[in-house]
Order: sequence, then structure tokens, then C-alpha cells
Amino acid sequence: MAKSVRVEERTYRKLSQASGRLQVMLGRLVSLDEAIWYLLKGVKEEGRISDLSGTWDMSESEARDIERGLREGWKRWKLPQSA
Amino acid sequence: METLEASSVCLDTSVLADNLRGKKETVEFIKRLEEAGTILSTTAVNSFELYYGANRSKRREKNLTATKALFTRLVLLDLTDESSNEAGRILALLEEEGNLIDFRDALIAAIATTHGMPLATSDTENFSRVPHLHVIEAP
Repeated sequence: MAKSVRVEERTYRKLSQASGRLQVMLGRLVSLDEAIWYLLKGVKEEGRISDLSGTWDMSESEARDIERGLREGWKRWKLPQSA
Repeated sequence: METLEASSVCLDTSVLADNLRGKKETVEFIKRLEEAGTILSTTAVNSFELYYGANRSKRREKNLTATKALFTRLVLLDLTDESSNEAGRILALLEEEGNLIDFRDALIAAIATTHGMPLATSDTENFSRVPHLHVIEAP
């Protein structure tokens, strides 16, 4: 159920600006309600993560080695099957 | 609120690492989510794993810089009291059923479910055992 919230003019302006930036980022319309929700979730407005593709310099074998190290590390926390 | 929740996805470590390493299928998968206007997030557990990976790598400085840049663009979901409680509940429940999953998987699953977000992962086998977790298969 929708509720009414009263905000000051300066807050309204900031919300409208945030909504506009989110619209550009998401490529679709974003209501003020949605903008508030996104802001509360801590949405960042600093670009797409796909733009960072290829920025890690790591071979396949190195990646697999690190992944194996992590998996082994977590396994040390594992509960015994009989517990 | 359901529509909003559906437009957010939590990404597992392998998806984020493969994107950073430029794995074509994963980058395409991420692009499809971005083009659909999806809010992308990850958990504090995945963040730890990525920073570990960057720190352990041969090109530590370069990979750390890239990892830090990644987290300026993602919503980071914390392990809260609520998600800790949920992780404990999930692990105990699956243990009772003789269907144990790793601690990391329980923590990630709990953080995603308490935020009402589906989890995109390449490890669907383990995560699909978690009740109420919406799992999206990633390349």
C-alpha cells in the first residue's frame, strides 16, 4: 500500500536528479519511489561492470589455482557429515 | 516491490572474476543484465574472495586496482544480523536433511535471500538445494 511522504524542496530536487541519473544508467524510466528504493539499497552510479572486463591480468591456470585455494580454505570450516 | 526485486541480481564470485578476466560468455551475460536495467550486486563473502584472488595473483597491484573499481559499481550486500540468522537456519536445515552445503554457500545464499535477490552463479548444483533461493544459471 502506497504512503505519502512530505519532503523539502531541496530534497525533492536531489531526488529528481538521482532519478534522472538512474534513468540514464538503467536506460528506462525510474519513478521517484524507485529512486528512493535504489538509493536505500546503495546503488552506485559509476558505470557498468562490463566495462571492466579484461582488467584482471590472470591466466586460466592461475585463476584455477586461486579458486582451488579458496575452496580448500572454506572446506576447513566444513561440518562433519555425521554431525 | 516485486518488480523492483526482480530487477536486482546478486552475482557470485566466479561470475565477477570471469567478467574481470574477460571471459566472453560471462561478459555477454553481464551485458544482457545491464541492458535490461538490472541492478547488480554481490555479497561481502564474494567481495572477500575477489580481494583474496587479486592479492594472491602475480599482477597484484593491477588486479587490486581493477577489483576496487568493480566495487565502486556494484551494490555490496553486507552480512547482517538477519542474514547471519538465515545462514545458520539454512545450514542447520540442510544438515538435518543430510544435504550439507559449504559455509560460504550458506552465507551467500542467506545474504541474497534476505535482500530478496536472485543469485546468478555457475554453481547451480549446490545453491539449488537452498530453500527459497532463486538461482539464475550463469555461464
